Amino acid sequence: MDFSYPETHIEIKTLAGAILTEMATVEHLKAQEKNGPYLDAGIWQQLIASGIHTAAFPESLDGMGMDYMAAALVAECIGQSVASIPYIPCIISAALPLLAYSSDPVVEKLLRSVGAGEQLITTALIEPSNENPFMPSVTVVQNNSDWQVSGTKHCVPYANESQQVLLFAKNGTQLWAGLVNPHTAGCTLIAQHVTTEEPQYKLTMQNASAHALCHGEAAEQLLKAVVAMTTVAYCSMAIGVAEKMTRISADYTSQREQFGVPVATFQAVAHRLASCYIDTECLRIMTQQAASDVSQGLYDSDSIAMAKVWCGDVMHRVSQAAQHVHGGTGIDRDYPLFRYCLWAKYLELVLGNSRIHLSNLADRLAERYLAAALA
Amino acid sequence: MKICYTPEQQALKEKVACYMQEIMTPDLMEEKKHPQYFEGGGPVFKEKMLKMGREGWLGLGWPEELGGKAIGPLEQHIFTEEVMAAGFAYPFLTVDTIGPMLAQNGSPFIQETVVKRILKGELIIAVGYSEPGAGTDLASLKTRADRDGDDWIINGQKVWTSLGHFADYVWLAARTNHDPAIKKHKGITIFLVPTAFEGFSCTPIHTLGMRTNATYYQDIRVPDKYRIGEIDGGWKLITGQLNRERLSIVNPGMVTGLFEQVCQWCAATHDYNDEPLINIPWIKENLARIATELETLKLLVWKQAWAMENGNPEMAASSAAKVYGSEFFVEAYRRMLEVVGQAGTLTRDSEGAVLMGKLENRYLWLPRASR
Repeated sequence: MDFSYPETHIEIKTLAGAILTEMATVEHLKAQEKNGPYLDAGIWQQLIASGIHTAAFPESLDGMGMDYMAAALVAECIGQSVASIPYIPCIISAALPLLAYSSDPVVEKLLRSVGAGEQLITTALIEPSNENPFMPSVTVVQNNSDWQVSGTKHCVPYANESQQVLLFAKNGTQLWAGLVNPHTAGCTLIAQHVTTEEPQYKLTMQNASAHALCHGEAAEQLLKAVVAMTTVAYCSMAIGVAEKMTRISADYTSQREQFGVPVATFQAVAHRLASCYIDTECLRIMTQQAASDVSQGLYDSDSIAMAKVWCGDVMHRVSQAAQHVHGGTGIDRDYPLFRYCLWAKYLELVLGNSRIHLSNLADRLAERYLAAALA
Repeated sequence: MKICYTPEQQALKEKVACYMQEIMTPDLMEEKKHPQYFEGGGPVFKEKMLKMGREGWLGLGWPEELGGKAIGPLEQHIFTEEVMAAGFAYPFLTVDTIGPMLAQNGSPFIQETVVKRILKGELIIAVGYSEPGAGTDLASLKTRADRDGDDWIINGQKVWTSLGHFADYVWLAARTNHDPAIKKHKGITIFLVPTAFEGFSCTPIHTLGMRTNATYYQDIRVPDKYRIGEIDGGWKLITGQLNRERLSIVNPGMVTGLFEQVCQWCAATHDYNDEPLINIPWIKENLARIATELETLKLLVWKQAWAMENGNPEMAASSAAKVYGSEFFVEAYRRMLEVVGQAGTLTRDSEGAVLMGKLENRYLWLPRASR
């Protein structure tokens, strides 16, 4: 058992943290979000220039050859800064699973270009009225050598900014994985407006031609990797968000005076924030275990669902507690807290809320004990 | 970072679990039903402690020169978890918290007469901190020790002295400095008071679930060799001991064994529709919630044990684990009792008690364990 990070991981976290803290100032974020959803090109380019975005790419693709744990640490730093950058949708949801499961030369070329910062890719996981990525209603048919996809995915992050979208469809009863260029004929992108101001789109496809990656079990395996890596990345981001909300609240209540003393000296305030600290540490340790499992390829591990249960609960509780101890100040758009609270709500709901994951864990637990009872 | 047992740790866990089956004999289970023996102290319990000591199972994490096996804190933790999960009234305060403090701070006399015997399973030590007027504000304690030649004369009263009715010693905090100019916590010294000494007495406090005690110290003459650490230097020992206690007291073993039994019971028990209880949505969700939160407690405590091994335990993190663990136990027992239903209120001596009434018994006991 080892709870420490190797030196290289700590260096990546320090570097990413330094860049994000320095660049994502309140003034910067304010200027960026003035015109609605945005991709923070300045910060994204800086992460690319420093090589952070490809820390978990193999050296053969000019990466640093680090494991998933390093990528999760970068996600945590993004949570601290809430800059609107496509690290999780592009690198973690799309590039890392493709690196692990595809030897297709087309994919390699694409990933090389992503690594060089020339292109973006993203992953489409959910559909209107269907948030189970494993049961897509989008369909694909083969037309001679061409694959054609029809149906709708939505809440696709950075779809308009991306050159390819990794998506999953049903080919008859089989799962199918492929890449679709969202700007190609048959694709329509409609901008959606999400609470975090991250650019997201509804992608409607009508016989849109696609590049097939894999089918059946191979596609299931790829999707499991996508979902596991993405889920744990959002849990990691949530650690950063929770930590920052607690820090902002601690700073504020230490300075804010009422009745002639800082409000942090009231037990009612101190206890709420101590609970936020405990919540954050619980989320951290569960996420670390899940990330450790993901980096060993254990995409079915209960630890992933357990981390997301914590993520949903902690995001809700810490966000509300932070608002509570701030009085009205917390909702002021000139004060930094609100951005974290918006992300907290997103992280609570993305890829399954606490109840869904708990219900999945419950099914598995029942299955295990029933099997044991029969044996 | 790799958060799972090494193969050696997994093997140790299985070995301890296997060994504990040998310890938990029917006569010990029968003895445990008596409230005064719930936390040990009965003849069968004493026999089992001697057996565990003789066979080298106590003080696994202690240094070899003291008769231990010098395994790491993590291995020690794995051992304690399995022993607790088996339901053995393991005296963890004696073996895991006071023992190591005595080994670090005790005189050669204490090392010889007390420390070695703890490892043999021969001794039980109770803790004497709280008083009728000193609880949360422990430093305001009034029990006093006054110097008289080479001895100390101890007078005062302690409460919640669990195990005090069969303990061999009390790890006692007493005031040795009455100078009003110094801070209250700077005038406290720790003594290891033999309960066989004249002037010691004990009366029961019958609490929900188990017996604890009030203990009285009347003109007890204690030689200076029973003093632990510096005169007026007791506070550091108290906080050191409490840091260890915080982790022992939230050992997941308190829940793991029983949780496993409740899950098995839910799979084996069918409702009026012949549906296994574990297939009922709210029941399995209750269980999944416990499983999730239990995993969190395990990791928090493992991390503390790991931090101890690597010489870097954080005070805030150990307190966080204690708060989390205490609150978790209460919720976990509530959810387990919900699953068993009204039958969960049947006591262990009642006809029809489920799982030998363990849930009814332990929920009563929880408010204390979690404080």
